[in-house]
Formats: sequence, C-alpha cells, structure tokens
Amino acid sequence: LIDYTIFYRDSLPLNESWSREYDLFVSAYNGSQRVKTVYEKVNARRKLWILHDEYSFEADERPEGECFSCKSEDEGEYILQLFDYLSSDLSILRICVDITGFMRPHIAFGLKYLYDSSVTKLDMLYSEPSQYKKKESTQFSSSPVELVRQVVGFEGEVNNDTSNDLLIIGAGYEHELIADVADEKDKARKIVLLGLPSLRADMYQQNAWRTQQASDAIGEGVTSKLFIPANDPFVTASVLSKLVAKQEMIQPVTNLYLSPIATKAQTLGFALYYLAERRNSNTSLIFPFSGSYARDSAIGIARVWRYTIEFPVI
Amino acid sequence: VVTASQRKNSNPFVVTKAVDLTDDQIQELWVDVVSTTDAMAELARPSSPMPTYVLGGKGSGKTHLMRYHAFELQTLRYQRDSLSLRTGIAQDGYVGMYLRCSGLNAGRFGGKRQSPELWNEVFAYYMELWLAQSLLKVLIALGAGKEDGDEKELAAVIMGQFDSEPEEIPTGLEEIVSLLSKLQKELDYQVNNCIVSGKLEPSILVTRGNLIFGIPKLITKRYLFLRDVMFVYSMDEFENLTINQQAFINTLVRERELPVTIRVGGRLYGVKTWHTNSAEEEILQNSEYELLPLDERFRAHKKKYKDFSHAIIHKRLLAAFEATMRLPDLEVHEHLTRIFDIPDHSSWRSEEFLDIVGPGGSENRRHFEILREKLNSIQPMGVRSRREIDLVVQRLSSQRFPLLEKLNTLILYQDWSNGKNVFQSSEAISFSCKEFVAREQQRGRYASALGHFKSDLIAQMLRENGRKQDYSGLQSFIDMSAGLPRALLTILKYVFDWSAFNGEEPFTNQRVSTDAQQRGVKDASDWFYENMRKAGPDGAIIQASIDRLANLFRINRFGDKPIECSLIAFSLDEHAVSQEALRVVKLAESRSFLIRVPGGQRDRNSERITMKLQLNNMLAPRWDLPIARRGAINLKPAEVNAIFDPARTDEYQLVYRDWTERTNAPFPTKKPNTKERQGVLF
Repeated sequence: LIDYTIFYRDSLPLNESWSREYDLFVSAYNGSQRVKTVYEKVNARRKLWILHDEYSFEADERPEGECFSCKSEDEGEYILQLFDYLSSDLSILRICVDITGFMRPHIAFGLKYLYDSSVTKLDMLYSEPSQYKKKESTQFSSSPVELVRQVVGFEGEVNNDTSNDLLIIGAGYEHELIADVADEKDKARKIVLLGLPSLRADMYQQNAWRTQQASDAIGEGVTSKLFIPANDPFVTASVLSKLVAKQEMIQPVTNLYLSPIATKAQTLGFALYYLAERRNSNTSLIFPFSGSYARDSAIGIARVWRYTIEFPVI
Repeated sequence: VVTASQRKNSNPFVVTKAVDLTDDQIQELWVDVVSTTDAMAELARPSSPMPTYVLGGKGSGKTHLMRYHAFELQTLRYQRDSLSLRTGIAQDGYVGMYLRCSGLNAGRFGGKRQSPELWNEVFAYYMELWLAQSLLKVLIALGAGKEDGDEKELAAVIMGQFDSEPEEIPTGLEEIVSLLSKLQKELDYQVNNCIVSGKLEPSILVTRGNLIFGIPKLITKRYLFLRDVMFVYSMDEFENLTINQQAFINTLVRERELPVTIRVGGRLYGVKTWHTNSAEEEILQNSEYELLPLDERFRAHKKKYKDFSHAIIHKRLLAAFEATMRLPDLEVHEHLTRIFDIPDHSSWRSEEFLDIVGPGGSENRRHFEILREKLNSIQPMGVRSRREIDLVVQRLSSQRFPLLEKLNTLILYQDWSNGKNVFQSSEAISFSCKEFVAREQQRGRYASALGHFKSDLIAQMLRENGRKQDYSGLQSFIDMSAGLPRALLTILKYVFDWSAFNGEEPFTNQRVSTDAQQRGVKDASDWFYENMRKAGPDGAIIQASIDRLANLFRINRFGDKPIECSLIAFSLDEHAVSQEALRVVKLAESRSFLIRVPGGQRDRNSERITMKLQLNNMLAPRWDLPIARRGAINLKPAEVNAIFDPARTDEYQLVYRDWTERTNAPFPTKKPNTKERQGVLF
C-alpha cells in the first residue's frame, strides 16, 4: 500500500500574494469567480486558459489572455492536442494546473499524460466554493447523460469472470449521474463514497440526500456507504487503496470500476490511486458523459488548496 | 409468528433485479410457466437451433430467463437431481454460455486516432477470444479430454484451428484458456494505450469463427455425450454495443454453424441495427432469427401472466417466511388474493360509497355543491332561478346511492353539452334513476352510462371528497405491471414497506390495508416514471410528452362530461403527424412509457387502421388515471404534434384549453366540425 498522505498539501492565503513561481500555468475557464481569482494570483511565465466545449462559450465570452480550445471526440484527443499546442519539453518545466474548472475525465487523462511524459513534479490547485448555487438541488451537468464509458487511458483489462465485479462511486450531488453509472454496471456490487468531511458543513447532508434518490439503481441490500474527504485527493487515494485491498482480501475482485463523480479534488485522488496501483490491471475509471455542463454552479471562494504531486513517489 | 419489526427488515420483494440475485436464488425463484404447448413455449426451447433475440422492457425478465439457461444454473439443477454433468447436458440437449456485453466495455473499441475498419477487425478478434474462453471453461468443467484420456489430442485438434502457432504450444484445455487469456490481455493493453502509443497492431492468430464455431463442431463428433448438444452463446445487454459491433453480432447470427446457436438479449430500444457486415444486408426475421418480445407476450397471455405472477410471489414469500407460507398449490391463488384489503366498489349499491361522501343530507354532498355553483354562475337553458336549481338537485338526488347521484349529474352534463333544456333533462334523469333502482335494468342509456363511466365516477367521487384513488388488490397490481415482472415486484416491495411502517404484519397475519397499498402503488408509479427513462437527452423529452398526454387524460377523467370512459389509450395516423412527434412516440414506446395495443384502431372516417397506444398502466396512479383501459381517443395530427413535439408548447396550451372546455360546463355552444376546430386551434 502506498501512503499518499505524505504528499504535500497546503491551503493558500486568499488575502496575500502567492510566492511560488511557475513556468506554465493551465486553468479551465468556466466563468466563475473561483477560477478567475486563482488565475490572477498565480505567478507564472506563461498562463493558459483552456476552453471546454461543454461550457459552450461564444467567441465574445472568451477570457483575456492566451486560450486553447479544440474540437475533439474525447478527453484523450483533447489533452493530446493541448500538449501538441504547448510544444514544450514538459519534463523541465515548473507546472501548475488549476483543476477547478476542468472536466473530470480531462483531469484524469491529463495527469496520466504528464506522468507518462517524465514530468517528476507539479502543483495542482483546487478552490472550494462558499456554497453551491442551489444547494442540494445544484445541477452541474446541464444536459442529461449521453453515455457512460471508461475514461480514455484508464481502461482496464477485461476479466471474463464477472462474479465479483465491484463498482466504487465517489458520489456527488447529482443522483442522476449516480443512477446512470450504477445502471451501467448493474451486475457489480456497489460501494458509495460520500464526501465527509464535506467542503462546507451542510454539504454532507445535501450529498447524502441526493445519493439516497439513486437508491433504486444502486440496489438495496448490496450497498455499503463509506466516506472520503471532499477536498483531499491524497486521503481519497489512501481510502481507496485500503478499501480495495480489504475487498480483495475478502474475495478477489473480478473487475473493479471506479467512478469519481463528486469533487474535482476527489477525481484527482481516484486518478492518482489508479496510476499508482491499478495500471494494467482489471480496473477501469468510468464516467457518465453529458453534452454540456453548467458554467458556474457555485458562489464565492472559501479556500484554495495546493496539492503537490511527485510522480517518483508513486 | 414473525413480528412486524422483523418483517420490515425482511421484505421478500427487496431484490427486484435478476442481476442482484445469486445463481441459487435464480434457481430457487424460477417459475416455469412456459413449458406448455402454447405460444409462450418458445421461451422454454433453449436447445432450439434458431437464433433468438429476446427483447423486452427493463424488468421484463430477460436476464432471469437467460441466466436460468446458463451452464452455471444447469449445473445447480443437475446437483439437485443427482445427475452427472455429462448426463444432465445430454438430457438437456444444450449448454448455455451466458455473457454480458457490458463486460466488454465496448466503447473503448473506437476513436483514438485509429480507423473504424481497424476497430471492426480488432473487435471481431476480441469477441472470438472472449467467447472461446467461455466455451473452453465449460468443456473443462465437463472434463472433456481429461476424463476421456485424450486431452493432449483434443488440445492439438483445437490448436489446429489457429492460423499460426503461438510460441509455446498448449497441451491441455487449461493451457489453451491461459493462452487465449494472455492474447486478450495483450489486446486489452494495445486497445487501451493506443492513444498514447499510437500503435494498434494486433497479431491475429485465428480466423473469425474458427474457435467459437469450429470447436463445438469438433467435439460433438469426438464425444458421444455431446453428439446432440447445442452450444448456445447467450449475449445479454445488446444495447451496450455500438452500431458496428451490433452489426458484427448480427453477422455471427447469420454465419453461425451448427451445433452452435446464439441468443441475444436486450432492451426494447437496444437494437440499433439489423444490418450485417455482409454487404450491409439485414438479417431476416423468422428465417435467420426469431424475435421474442418478452413483455408483449406476457401481456397477450393474461391468464398465463396472472399464474406466473402468483407463482413468483408465492416463491418469494416461501423463501422469506417458509413456515407460514407453505400452501397447497390450489390454495395459493385464493390466499394471495385475500392478503390485500379491497374496498367493495363492485356494485352501485355498495355502502362504501356512503362512507366516501360522508354523513349528512344528499343535497349537501360535494358533487351537488359543484353542480349548484355551475348552474348558478352559468344559468344554462331551463335553469334561471334558485328555485329551479334546488329542484334540479332534488331530482338528481338519491340519498342511499351516491354513485347513482354521480351518474345523474354526468347524464345532466351530457344533455347540457348537447344543448338540451337542463331543467327538463333533470326530470327525465330522475325518472330513469328511479326505474333503474326499482328494476335494475341492464339495458338503456342509464344502465349503459353506468357501465361505461363507473370507474371515472368513483374516481371523481374519491377526489371530490379528499380521498386517495383506489388501486388496491393483487389483480390491480398485476394489471399495472403490464407484463414487466420487475414492476410487479417493485409495487409489492413498496406496499410491503408501507404496510410494515404502518405497524401491520404484511403477508401473514393480517390483511394489507388500503392505505399501505395506495401509498405503495404511488411510490411504484413514481419509481417507474423516474427509472424507465434512462440516460440520454431524449429521456427528458419522453417525460415531458408523457406529462402532457397524461394531463389531458386527467382532464377527461375528472371533467364534468368525460369524452371517453377510462381513457388512457389513443390512436394516431402515423402518416399525418410530424416526424419529430412520431419519433418521440416511438421513443416513449421503446422505453415502455407507452404500450402498443395490438391490432390498432380503425379510423371512422378513412377506414384506415391507425396506430393505437396506451399509457403504461404503471404510470396511471401518478395522474390518478385508471389502470384498466376502456375507451380510446383518435388524436388529431395537430394534437399529436402538440403533445409529442417538445417545441410546440404554445400549441399544447391550446389543446389543453380545448380539452378543458370540451369536458367541462358550460361546454362549447356549438360543436364545430373537425376542420373548423383545427382551424381555430392552429
């Protein structure tokens, strides 16, 4: 087992300037104050906004500064084109990525790409909202799920024996997403991970309430509920590591499906765990894809976290 | 005796999906209603060489059926019957290999900077490796070769099916499985990483079909006990495959070679193409494959479905509370029917109607309050003064039989809408009512109106008096489920939960209250509405159009003068409606929100047979609609477009207003003909 909690993680002050300097800073623009604030405060020689099609920004809504966008059929192609565009030797750059506005599958594939590109270390930022706009009714995806599939680069080997398939869902606010993922792997046993500690005190109850609404798809009598912190990818990865090890001890898992559909910080934790421990195994990351996403589902900025990923450790 | 709290924790209907059942449970809960000599029997012909596509709504029992015929379940039955595997298989005449397409994660076989043609090749090879492993594992379990003392020779013969030899030549079946597994893993690696590596260059060692069709051909010649055995690849969850991948499976169906056959299981909407890879030709129904629309068959064989439903409930109850539920077969039906409290609404004389309207004088009942208000505010022909209103109400009154009062008001509204003198009508109605009570004639307008509208009148009476609608009784639940056993189990699950919550001891010591049934049915209806939709941008469109349709039916049911009785069905001319509306109608049908009524309906004007559909009975309680279909309305093309085309919100509002006006006093003064009304509307 890897102890992911040894990675550095700190909270950046909102009222002071940030001292660390980078060669490259990448953030995904979603119109929220959270991403704009972080973009302003980061010190970097080159700053790049990436524009996801899913947010449907018109040409006149683009932010100031260097922007990247492309038409791509999946996250793999998008990230490849992004790095083609950057055309730099990534291994020698000091890189910082704000994952707050990124699509979750892009976070996962981006991390894999950097890992495979001999990058040894990078910082990832995540800013917590003060509140979601509609509390427990907040919709992040603004159109229904079109497809549940594996995230590119996180597609495991197929075990033909499916007798003990396991689906671990990092459950967020949108019960439709939970239901769609659970439906897709309806043969698998399900374990639901709720965000606790949550980002704000009331968010746990809101999270639990929404998850309950997907109980039909999750199935009754076969569900376990466990907890992962909403803002700590390293504890998330550690919990996953221990949880899967325990499950494997009870009975070998035939196919393992991981579905991070809650916070971006948790998505990062899922991806880290996968890259560190589940590559070239019977494990897949699966995700419910929607055609479009709400640009800005949150109000305010509560805290900004900096996670330092050191690839040699994993 | 099991206590209420224990019962609450041991809901026998808690597992409603076959995927959540263990092999033992599948075996235990299996109900054999199909091995008879009627049209249902094809379900029980697992050894038939004809490929079959088993299609059905979510919860129609596809997976249960396919798993029941899989080798794992066959093995359990042989153990139960003390048969050896070989004897059992020889007797069954088939061996089933059940595979779920979702396990392939088929979405990864595409894109990633590779050509579609290459992906087709890779997928075909992958399927060969995948299916062949499943086949070989069954052969290993049967001791093929090992028990016959010729495993090396068998392995050599199987390896002869390969086009080129691997580095290490396997000498036993286990080793061949390991080889295939290794090849599959290598392919997995290339498929999963080609986006970064840029390479997808599988070394294809075997021609398509050489293993999955070739091996059964070899071994049936080699071993006596397999001589007449059919090898059945059962591939469930067809909807999880892409169009190209489905075309490949269709090609396998076309090109299959005996002794192999293929069963494909999928949702109603799951078939994306019937094309094959052979020059884009479609496979032909009834010559190359049979279609088994599971829930449609259940609906068509009502008696069978009822027996089947009783049997599955009895099995569940036996499994949960064996001691209290072991009953002779003959008593099962009666016992299950008795479990549920049912209000007596069968006769218009029932005293339950007096309970609904409450104590007090007839003239103060809610339906007369409403009538008075309308007469007073609208003043139709013949009624001008308060005295005349009082007299009308007095004539329609029937103190002992509130249902007849409701019928009297309905007939009055009918006459009113036809422009008749309301005051004079009330006198005639009063006479008919008294005659009916005295002689209970079966014929004539009065008796006929009661026969047609009784269900709607009771529903109105319940609603006017603040009562919940009645959907109680096992037969109601069976009717609601409309051929989807999972829907039936879900109703029972919720009813059981509510009953236990109310402190009852459901399904054993006392009857399940109507309150628990009403709440359970409502929850089940909501579950159906939320969970049949599934993902996809069209899901919300289906729900919106069903909302629109059901709201019109509700206007009709609770209107002063319903256009049709017990209305949940409609017909439409599919050639006259917009493409988008027709697309949404078909989508709603494929998701089981609408059910096709066999035979269609003959249009009164054109004599053309039109498409006839009904709202799924499961959805009826959500809008307080009837679960038994009687009347059907021929929707005009403009109405169909307004209901099913999501963009036509304004037009729908006009239709909504039109229906409200047509079914409620004061009613349109002159009934315009169809063309005129359409002109006004649109």
